[in-house]
Amino acid sequence: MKTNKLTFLGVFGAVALVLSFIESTLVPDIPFLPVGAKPGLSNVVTMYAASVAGLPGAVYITMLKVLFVFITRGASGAFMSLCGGLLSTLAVSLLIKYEGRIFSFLGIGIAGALMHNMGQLFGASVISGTFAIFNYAKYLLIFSLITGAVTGSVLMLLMPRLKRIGGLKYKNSATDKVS
Amino acid sequence: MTIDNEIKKGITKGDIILIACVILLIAVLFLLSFKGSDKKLTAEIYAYGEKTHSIALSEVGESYTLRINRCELLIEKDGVTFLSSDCADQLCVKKGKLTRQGDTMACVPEKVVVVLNGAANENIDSVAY
Repeated sequence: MKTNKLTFLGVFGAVALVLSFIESTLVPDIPFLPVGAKPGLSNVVTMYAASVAGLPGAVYITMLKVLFVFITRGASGAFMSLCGGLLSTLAVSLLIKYEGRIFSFLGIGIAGALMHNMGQLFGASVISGTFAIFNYAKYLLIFSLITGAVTGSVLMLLMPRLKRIGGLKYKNSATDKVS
Repeated sequence: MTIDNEIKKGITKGDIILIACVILLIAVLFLLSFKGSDKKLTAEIYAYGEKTHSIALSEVGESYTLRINRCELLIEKDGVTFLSSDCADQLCVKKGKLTRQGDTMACVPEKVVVVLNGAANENIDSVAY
Protein backbone atom coordinates (compact mmCIF):
# COMPACT_ATOMS: atom_id res chain seq x y z
CA MET A 1 0.00 0.00 0.00
CA LYS A 2 1.34 3.39 -0.92
CA THR A 3 2.23 5.66 1.96
CA ASN A 4 -0.19 8.39 0.99
CA LYS A 5 -3.06 5.92 0.76
CA LEU A 6 -2.15 4.47 4.14
CA THR A 7 -2.04 7.94 5.67
CA PHE A 8 -5.27 8.93 4.00
CA LEU A 9 -7.15 5.91 5.32
CA GLY A 10 -5.70 6.36 8.79
CA VAL A 11 -6.67 10.00 9.04
CA PHE A 12 -10.11 9.65 7.51
CA GLY A 13 -10.83 6.45 9.43
CA ALA A 14 -10.16 8.43 12.60
CA VAL A 15 -12.40 11.29 11.45
CA ALA A 16 -15.22 8.83 10.70
CA LEU A 17 -14.92 7.23 14.12
CA VAL A 18 -14.94 10.58 15.91
CA LEU A 19 -18.05 11.65 14.00
CA SER A 20 -19.87 8.39 14.82
CA PHE A 21 -18.85 8.69 18.44
CA ILE A 22 -20.11 12.27 18.70
CA GLU A 23 -23.40 11.24 17.11
CA SER A 24 -23.96 8.23 19.31
CA THR A 25 -23.18 9.90 22.60
CA LEU A 26 -23.54 13.65 22.41
CA VAL A 27 -26.54 14.13 20.14
CA PRO A 28 -29.64 14.04 22.38
CA ASP A 29 -32.68 11.97 21.49
CA ILE A 30 -35.14 14.32 19.91
CA PRO A 31 -38.70 13.18 20.71
CA PHE A 32 -40.41 13.31 17.31
CA LEU A 33 -37.57 11.72 15.39
CA PRO A 34 -37.42 7.95 14.89
CA VAL A 35 -35.68 6.34 17.84
CA GLY A 36 -32.11 5.44 17.16
CA ALA A 37 -31.94 7.47 13.97
CA LYS A 38 -28.69 9.36 13.64
CA PRO A 39 -27.63 12.04 11.17
CA GLY A 40 -24.93 9.80 9.72
CA LEU A 41 -22.28 12.50 9.46
CA SER A 42 -19.54 9.91 9.21
CA ASN A 43 -21.09 8.92 5.88
CA VAL A 44 -19.60 12.12 4.51
CA VAL A 45 -16.21 10.55 5.17
CA THR A 46 -17.21 7.23 3.62
CA MET A 47 -18.51 9.01 0.54
CA TYR A 48 -15.33 11.04 0.25
CA ALA A 49 -13.25 7.90 0.64
CA ALA A 50 -15.33 6.21 -2.03
CA SER A 51 -14.63 9.01 -4.46
CA VAL A 52 -10.90 9.33 -3.90
CA ALA A 53 -9.84 5.84 -2.80
CA GLY A 54 -12.52 3.80 -4.53
CA LEU A 55 -14.50 0.93 -3.10
CA PRO A 56 -11.69 -0.71 -1.06
CA GLY A 57 -10.94 2.50 0.84
CA ALA A 58 -14.61 3.12 1.59
CA VAL A 59 -15.10 -0.48 2.72
CA TYR A 60 -12.08 -0.14 4.98
CA ILE A 61 -13.60 2.88 6.72
CA THR A 62 -16.97 1.12 6.96
CA MET A 63 -15.38 -1.92 8.58
CA LEU A 64 -13.61 0.34 11.05
CA LYS A 65 -16.99 1.78 12.03
CA VAL A 66 -18.45 -1.72 12.37
CA LEU A 67 -15.59 -2.69 14.67
CA PHE A 68 -16.22 0.41 16.74
CA VAL A 69 -19.92 -0.45 17.08
CA PHE A 70 -19.00 -4.01 18.01
CA ILE A 71 -16.78 -2.79 20.84
CA THR A 72 -19.24 -0.23 22.16
CA ARG A 73 -22.66 -1.80 21.53
CA GLY A 74 -22.13 -5.49 20.95
CA ALA A 75 -22.76 -8.04 18.23
CA SER A 76 -26.30 -7.23 17.12
CA GLY A 77 -25.53 -3.56 16.71
CA ALA A 78 -22.40 -4.43 14.78
CA PHE A 79 -24.30 -6.76 12.47
CA MET A 80 -26.87 -4.04 11.70
CA SER A 81 -24.03 -1.58 11.14
CA LEU A 82 -22.34 -4.06 8.81
CA CYS A 83 -25.48 -4.60 6.71
CA GLY A 84 -26.28 -0.90 6.48
CA GLY A 85 -22.68 0.19 6.02
CA LEU A 86 -21.78 -2.25 3.26
CA LEU A 87 -25.00 -1.73 1.29
CA SER A 88 -24.64 2.03 1.47
CA THR A 89 -20.93 1.94 0.64
CA LEU A 90 -21.54 -0.27 -2.39
CA ALA A 91 -24.29 2.03 -3.65
CA VAL A 92 -22.26 5.19 -3.05
CA SER A 93 -19.09 3.78 -4.65
CA LEU A 94 -21.05 2.79 -7.73
CA LEU A 95 -22.98 6.07 -8.05
CA ILE A 96 -20.04 8.35 -7.30
CA LYS A 97 -18.26 7.13 -10.44
CA TYR A 98 -21.02 8.80 -12.40
CA GLU A 99 -21.31 11.85 -10.15
CA GLY A 100 -22.90 14.73 -11.99
CA ARG A 101 -24.35 12.48 -14.68
CA ILE A 102 -26.96 10.37 -12.86
CA PHE A 103 -26.98 11.94 -9.41
CA SER A 104 -25.14 14.88 -7.92
CA PHE A 105 -23.67 14.53 -4.43
CA LEU A 106 -27.15 15.42 -3.13
CA GLY A 107 -28.72 12.36 -4.74
CA ILE A 108 -25.76 10.16 -3.85
CA GLY A 109 -26.06 11.24 -0.22
CA ILE A 110 -29.77 10.41 -0.20
CA ALA A 111 -29.22 7.07 -1.92
CA GLY A 112 -26.49 6.22 0.58
CA ALA A 113 -28.67 7.14 3.57
CA LEU A 114 -31.61 5.12 2.19
CA MET A 115 -29.43 2.09 1.61
CA HIS A 116 -27.89 2.45 5.04
CA ASN A 117 -31.24 2.50 6.81
CA MET A 118 -32.76 -0.28 4.75
CA GLY A 119 -29.66 -2.41 5.25
CA GLN A 120 -29.89 -1.87 8.98
CA LEU A 121 -33.56 -2.82 9.00
CA PHE A 122 -32.68 -5.92 7.02
CA GLY A 123 -29.98 -6.77 9.55
CA ALA A 124 -32.43 -6.22 12.40
CA SER A 125 -34.96 -8.46 10.63
CA VAL A 126 -32.41 -11.22 10.25
CA ILE A 127 -31.44 -11.06 13.92
CA SER A 128 -34.97 -10.85 15.30
CA GLY A 129 -36.30 -13.34 12.78
CA THR A 130 -39.25 -11.28 11.56
CA PHE A 131 -39.71 -8.75 8.82
CA ALA A 132 -42.36 -7.03 10.96
CA ILE A 133 -39.63 -4.47 11.72
CA PHE A 134 -40.03 -3.10 8.21
CA ASN A 135 -43.12 -1.35 9.56
CA TYR A 136 -40.57 1.11 10.84
CA ALA A 137 -39.27 1.79 7.33
CA LYS A 138 -41.65 4.65 6.59
CA TYR A 139 -40.28 6.75 9.44
CA LEU A 140 -36.70 5.94 8.51
CA LEU A 141 -37.33 6.80 4.85
CA ILE A 142 -38.43 10.32 5.78
CA PHE A 143 -35.47 10.67 8.06
CA SER A 144 -32.94 9.38 5.55
CA LEU A 145 -34.27 11.73 2.89
CA ILE A 146 -33.36 14.63 5.17
CA THR A 147 -30.07 13.32 6.55
CA GLY A 148 -28.97 12.10 3.13
CA ALA A 149 -29.61 15.53 1.68
CA VAL A 150 -27.58 17.09 4.48
CA THR A 151 -24.58 14.75 4.16
CA GLY A 152 -24.72 15.00 0.37
CA SER A 153 -24.77 18.80 0.51
CA VAL A 154 -21.91 18.87 2.99
CA LEU A 155 -19.81 16.79 0.62
CA MET A 156 -20.89 18.93 -2.34
CA LEU A 157 -19.51 21.96 -0.52
CA LEU A 158 -16.38 20.23 0.77
CA MET A 159 -15.38 18.38 -2.38
CA PRO A 160 -13.94 21.24 -4.42
CA ARG A 161 -11.96 22.42 -1.41
CA LEU A 162 -10.70 18.94 -0.60
CA LYS A 163 -9.72 18.49 -4.23
CA ARG A 164 -7.56 21.59 -4.02
CA ILE A 165 -5.62 20.09 -1.14
CA GLY A 166 -4.76 17.28 -3.45
CA GLY A 167 -3.20 14.14 -2.09
CA LEU A 168 -4.91 11.28 -3.77
CA LYS A 169 -6.19 11.60 -7.25
CA TYR A 170 -9.90 12.18 -7.58
CA LYS A 171 -11.28 9.15 -9.36
CA ASN A 172 -14.03 10.66 -11.42
CA SER A 173 -13.17 10.54 -15.08
CA ALA A 174 -16.02 12.89 -15.95
CA THR A 175 -14.90 15.85 -13.88
CA ASP A 176 -11.30 14.99 -13.18
CA LYS A 177 -9.40 18.25 -13.29
CA VAL A 178 -6.84 17.53 -10.62
CA SER A 179 -3.35 16.90 -11.80
CA MET B 1 -12.98 26.22 -13.20
CA THR B 2 -13.48 28.06 -9.94
CA ILE B 3 -14.76 26.42 -6.81
CA ASP B 4 -18.06 28.28 -6.82
CA ASN B 5 -18.80 27.30 -10.38
CA GLU B 6 -18.37 23.69 -9.46
CA ILE B 7 -20.84 23.98 -6.61
CA LYS B 8 -23.39 25.70 -8.81
CA LYS B 9 -23.31 22.72 -11.14
CA GLY B 10 -25.99 21.77 -8.68
CA ILE B 11 -28.54 19.04 -8.64
CA THR B 12 -29.32 16.75 -11.54
CA LYS B 13 -32.53 15.41 -13.01
CA GLY B 14 -31.73 12.07 -11.36
CA ASP B 15 -31.74 13.73 -7.92
CA ILE B 16 -35.22 15.11 -8.46
CA ILE B 17 -36.54 11.78 -9.74
CA LEU B 18 -35.01 9.98 -6.75
CA ILE B 19 -36.50 12.42 -4.24
CA ALA B 20 -39.91 12.26 -5.93
CA CYS B 21 -39.89 8.44 -5.91
CA VAL B 22 -38.97 8.31 -2.24
CA ILE B 23 -41.68 10.80 -1.28
CA LEU B 24 -44.20 8.75 -3.26
CA LEU B 25 -43.07 5.57 -1.53
CA ILE B 26 -43.39 7.20 1.89
CA ALA B 27 -46.90 8.43 1.03
CA VAL B 28 -47.95 4.93 -0.10
CA LEU B 29 -46.52 3.31 3.03
CA PHE B 30 -48.32 5.78 5.29
CA LEU B 31 -51.61 5.34 3.43
CA LEU B 32 -51.32 1.56 3.74
CA SER B 33 -50.64 1.80 7.46
CA PHE B 34 -53.78 3.89 8.06
CA LYS B 35 -56.00 1.18 6.67
CA GLY B 36 -58.31 -0.38 9.23
CA SER B 37 -59.76 0.96 12.40
CA ASP B 38 -57.65 3.07 14.68
CA LYS B 39 -59.90 2.40 17.65
CA LYS B 40 -59.29 -1.31 17.86
CA LEU B 41 -55.60 -1.83 18.10
CA THR B 42 -54.00 -5.21 18.20
CA ALA B 43 -50.54 -5.49 19.70
CA GLU B 44 -48.61 -8.19 17.94
CA ILE B 45 -45.57 -9.35 19.79
CA TYR B 46 -42.84 -11.40 18.17
CA ALA B 47 -40.06 -13.19 20.00
CA TYR B 48 -37.31 -14.99 18.13
CA GLY B 49 -39.29 -14.43 14.94
CA GLU B 50 -42.40 -16.22 16.18
CA LYS B 51 -45.60 -14.37 16.90
CA THR B 52 -46.13 -15.14 20.57
CA HIS B 53 -48.90 -12.75 21.55
CA SER B 54 -51.71 -11.00 19.75
CA ILE B 55 -53.45 -8.77 22.20
CA ALA B 56 -56.61 -6.78 21.44
CA LEU B 57 -55.83 -3.66 23.44
CA SER B 58 -59.46 -2.56 23.77
CA GLU B 59 -60.14 -5.73 25.73
CA VAL B 60 -57.34 -5.09 28.20
CA GLY B 61 -58.77 -4.17 31.56
CA GLU B 62 -56.13 -3.77 34.24
CA SER B 63 -52.77 -2.97 32.77
CA TYR B 64 -50.18 -5.66 33.26
CA THR B 65 -46.57 -6.39 32.53
CA LEU B 66 -45.29 -9.08 30.26
CA ARG B 67 -41.79 -10.51 30.35
CA ILE B 68 -40.46 -11.67 27.03
CA ASN B 69 -36.85 -12.77 26.82
CA ARG B 70 -35.13 -10.11 28.86
CA CYS B 71 -37.57 -7.33 28.01
CA GLU B 72 -40.38 -6.12 30.21
CA LEU B 73 -43.46 -4.84 28.41
CA LEU B 74 -46.32 -2.87 29.94
CA ILE B 75 -49.64 -3.69 28.27
CA GLU B 76 -52.30 -1.02 28.73
CA LYS B 77 -55.65 -0.24 27.16
CA ASP B 78 -54.12 2.59 25.17
CA GLY B 79 -50.72 1.22 24.25
CA VAL B 80 -47.66 -0.86 24.83
CA THR B 81 -44.47 0.34 26.50
CA PHE B 82 -41.05 -1.26 26.77
CA LEU B 83 -40.39 -0.80 30.49
CA SER B 84 -36.91 -2.25 30.53
CA SER B 85 -34.56 -4.29 28.47
CA ASP B 86 -31.27 -5.89 29.20
CA CYS B 87 -29.35 -4.39 26.30
CA ALA B 88 -26.76 -1.71 25.76
CA ASP B 89 -28.53 0.98 23.78
CA GLN B 90 -32.03 0.97 25.34
CA LEU B 91 -33.62 2.30 22.17
CA CYS B 92 -36.86 0.46 22.82
CA VAL B 93 -37.16 2.00 26.29
CA LYS B 94 -36.45 5.50 24.97
CA LYS B 95 -39.25 5.19 22.43
CA GLY B 96 -41.89 5.32 25.16
CA LYS B 97 -45.44 4.15 24.65
CA LEU B 98 -46.60 2.78 21.31
CA THR B 99 -50.11 4.14 20.89
CA ARG B 100 -50.94 4.52 17.23
CA GLN B 101 -51.62 2.12 14.47
CA GLY B 102 -48.46 1.21 12.61
CA ASP B 103 -46.23 2.02 15.57
CA THR B 104 -43.39 -0.45 15.66
CA MET B 105 -40.58 -0.99 18.08
CA ALA B 106 -37.99 -3.68 18.36
CA CYS B 107 -35.41 -4.65 20.86
CA VAL B 108 -33.05 -6.21 18.39
CA PRO B 109 -30.50 -7.67 20.83
CA GLU B 110 -33.32 -9.46 22.69
CA LYS B 111 -35.13 -10.36 19.46
CA VAL B 112 -38.44 -8.87 20.57
CA VAL B 113 -40.62 -6.93 18.14
CA VAL B 114 -43.88 -5.15 18.88
CA VAL B 115 -46.21 -3.94 16.14
CA LEU B 116 -49.53 -2.17 16.65
CA ASN B 117 -51.98 -3.13 13.94
CA GLY B 118 -55.45 -1.88 13.27
CA ALA B 119 -58.13 -4.50 13.51
CA ALA B 120 -58.05 -5.64 9.90
CA ASN B 121 -60.42 -8.61 10.02
CA GLU B 122 -63.18 -7.20 12.18
CA ASN B 123 -65.42 -6.04 9.41
CA ILE B 124 -68.48 -7.46 11.15
CA ASP B 125 -68.06 -4.97 13.95
CA SER B 126 -67.93 -2.04 11.61
CA VAL B 127 -71.14 -3.12 9.90
CA ALA B 128 -72.92 -3.06 13.26
CA TYR B 129 -73.03 0.72 13.43
